Amino acid sequence: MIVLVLFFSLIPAGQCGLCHPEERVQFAESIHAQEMISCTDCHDGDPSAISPEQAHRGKFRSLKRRTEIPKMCARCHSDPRMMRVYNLPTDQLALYRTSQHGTQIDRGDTRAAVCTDCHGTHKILRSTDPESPSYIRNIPETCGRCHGESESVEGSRPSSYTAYMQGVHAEELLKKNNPNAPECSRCHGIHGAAPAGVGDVSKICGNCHSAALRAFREGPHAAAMTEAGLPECVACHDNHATAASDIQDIQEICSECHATDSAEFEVGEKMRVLITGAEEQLAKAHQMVMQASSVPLYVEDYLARLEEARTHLMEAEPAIHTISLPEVERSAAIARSLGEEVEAEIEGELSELSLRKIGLIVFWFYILLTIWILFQYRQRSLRKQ
Amino acid sequence: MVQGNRRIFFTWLTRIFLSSWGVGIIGVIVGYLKAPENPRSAGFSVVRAGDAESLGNGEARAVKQGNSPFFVIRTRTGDLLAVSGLCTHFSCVLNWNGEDQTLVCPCHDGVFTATGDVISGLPSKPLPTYPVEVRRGELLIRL
Amino acid sequence: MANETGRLHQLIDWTEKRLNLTEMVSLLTMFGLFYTELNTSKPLSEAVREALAKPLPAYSRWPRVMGLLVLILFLFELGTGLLLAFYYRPTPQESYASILIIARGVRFGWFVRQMHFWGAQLLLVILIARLIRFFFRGHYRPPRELIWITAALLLVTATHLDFTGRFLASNNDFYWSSRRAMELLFSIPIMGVFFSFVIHEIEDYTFTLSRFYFMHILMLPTLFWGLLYLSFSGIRRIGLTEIKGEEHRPARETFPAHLYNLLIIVVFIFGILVTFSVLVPVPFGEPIDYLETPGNLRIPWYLLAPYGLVEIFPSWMPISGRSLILLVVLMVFILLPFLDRRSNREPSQRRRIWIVNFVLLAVWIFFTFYGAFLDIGGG
Repeated sequence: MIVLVLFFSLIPAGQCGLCHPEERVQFAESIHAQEMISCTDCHDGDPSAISPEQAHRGKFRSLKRRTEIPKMCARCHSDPRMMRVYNLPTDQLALYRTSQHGTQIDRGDTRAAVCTDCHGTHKILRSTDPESPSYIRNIPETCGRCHGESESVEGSRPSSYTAYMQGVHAEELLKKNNPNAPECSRCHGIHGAAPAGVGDVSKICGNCHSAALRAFREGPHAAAMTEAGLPECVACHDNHATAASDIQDIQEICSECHATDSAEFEVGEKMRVLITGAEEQLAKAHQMVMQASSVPLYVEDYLARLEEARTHLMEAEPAIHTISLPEVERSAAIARSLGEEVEAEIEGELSELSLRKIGLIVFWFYILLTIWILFQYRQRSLRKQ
Repeated sequence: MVQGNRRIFFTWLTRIFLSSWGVGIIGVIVGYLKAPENPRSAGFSVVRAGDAESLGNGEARAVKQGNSPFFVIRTRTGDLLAVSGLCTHFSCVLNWNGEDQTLVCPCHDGVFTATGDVISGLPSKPLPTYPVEVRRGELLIRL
Repeated sequence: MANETGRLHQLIDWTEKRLNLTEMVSLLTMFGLFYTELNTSKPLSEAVREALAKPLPAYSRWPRVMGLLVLILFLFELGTGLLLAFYYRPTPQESYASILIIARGVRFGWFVRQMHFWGAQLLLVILIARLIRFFFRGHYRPPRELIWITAALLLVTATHLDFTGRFLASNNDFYWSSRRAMELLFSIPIMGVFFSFVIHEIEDYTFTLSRFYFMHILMLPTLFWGLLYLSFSGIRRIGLTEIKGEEHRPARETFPAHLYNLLIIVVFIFGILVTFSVLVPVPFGEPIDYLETPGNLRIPWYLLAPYGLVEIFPSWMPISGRSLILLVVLMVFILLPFLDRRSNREPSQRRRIWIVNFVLLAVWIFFTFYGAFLDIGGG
């Protein structure tokens, strides 16, 4: 008993763990405990007391009220001098106040997220620790606790979390471990999390999809959509369940706003035809190259040129956002012509091989003639006998 | 007499014809034994990158070996190096920007230094680099 | 014309005073060109004239030239193999790349490679056909026991050359088919242990490749040469005597005519090989993937029958038990002469022999198809 008491008193937590063992254990694993922060630094009270009445004296804060928490954390985390040694930013509270979560909390709505909802209460870990709920790959799940199916934040709409998990960004981030793939905070902001305004969506998407944004700004959709109050990129590509764009869907997407017999729809259709044509050409050329490589022929040059063609095609796809047919036509045409070149050259080489077959027939004439001559010699030797 | 001449002619014709087999076989063997000069058939470990003199300071030259593009760069301080010409993000072919001495990717605006380090954009890995030799006035990239 | 032959004769005379030309030529003919020995004490032209003047048995027609064809194809394989060896690099890292260079970069490289492969397959076919002929004619009865044994061992050596050659080819299909053949071999009790020790476990590619290279280039060809020599030497001693009743057929050909026949056949075979090389080229294949067994693994065609034999037993028998039958078959195959010592002389037995032999051959063919069926069906 004395040993236990001594043991517990050696740690800055004091005696709190006698009644709160679970929290004590959780806290011991946290980054705060590593930095020798104690229970009383947040909760105040008397750490050496054993009975609740004595412990929970004075300025003790239970912190059960969620609205208190941001300010509590900010006591240290907004102090530049304290945070300087850890190189941590101090703008979290300020940002938080601008966020949707922060404004709701200020209004007294306790459903909104506070610091502990995302970072954990006692077992707070670094955000670079894979076990932390604020670790980049855990963020969708953390946000999904409220913005998921089970909660009613979204109302009757399908939840953002479910939608996100169906999208290509989730696949890239969670399945393919792609560190560049965005999760909730990349688009919505971390502490200043808020849904993007109508004219801002393209700027957010454009942080990575810069080529598409440049093209979009050149095109007629940019102004038209802002005027119509449409959320730019999201109008054609879903905001959370973003799918990898497939040119074959363009008819469906255009028809959401444009009539199927309109000139605009025509443009979309033409683009689809151009790009599909180029893609098919490249696929055919690739197949021929693969066929040639089994012969074997030198195919490395051709594969390199096909890569080049694919790069051009990759430039054609963002160019769709300009809604300008010439742009798309140009890139698709280059891709296609490279594919056609490669195909023609491989066909040439393969036909050279079929030249061998013609040579074979000629060779057989040669062989038969030789056999005939040998036969004559043979007959002559028999006659000589 | 005419018969004899014709006979001699045919005999010689047949002899030449038959010896063409020997010539053919020797020709095939000799052609085969002549080692191929083309470096691409000698293995893919060295890339020829053209004349060394004509690449000035601050200039880059794009070369291809088989499936892969490379850039041979002579930095402004005169160092020679070679980097892969494929962006480490989605393997788009890079473009050289002589003004900034950078390699730019047209797909998602990734930017690399001449030594292959990522400056900005989506790529997360630097470009692989290769040493460059100058042999008899020619640049050779060692893979 | 007189001038040229005169000069040729002068040259031969000059050389004959300094070297025993007849002996040198007889070394060549030891491997089968003549059916008799050359008398090495006479000068070349005389010795050749003497040998050519000997009567050629009537039945020395084309079925009998199979032995010679074996020799010629083997020489052909040696030639093309030699050319291939100029460029092939026998290390695991470089073997595939070196073959790529041969097939793509070297002029006519593709041709040499194709001919080497098809020549090898034809060699195997002819060896098998020769054995079938011997089997049907009872050419394993005394005094021809050794002829049969050498012929059987020649076939075994040729199949080993094929295994090792496939392995050296360093592409996925060949490597895995070679491995499968090896697994079958290793499973034979007693002999399998010996094989696996010499060949060394195939997984450890580094050692196996070097061993196979050496075996394919030096050991097995030398063995082949030796067996060929024994074969022809035996034939020279025994003569091409046929069974009673056919001895009196008059000779229809002379040796020179016979040699011309041979030349014609050689040209024809060359044509066939070239045809196969152009029309049915051996595909190049991918480099070896050690970790993944391909789905369409094919066992070499000549091993389909043993494979069928082994698989006919229930699978609860351990593989060495099932392969016991292979060992039995192999022993019977090689030691057939000592099992069937009846003389070759009575014509009345011929029909019975014929039927028995035919049944055995049919059984073998059946197992080949069965093995093929298992192979393709099972996959």
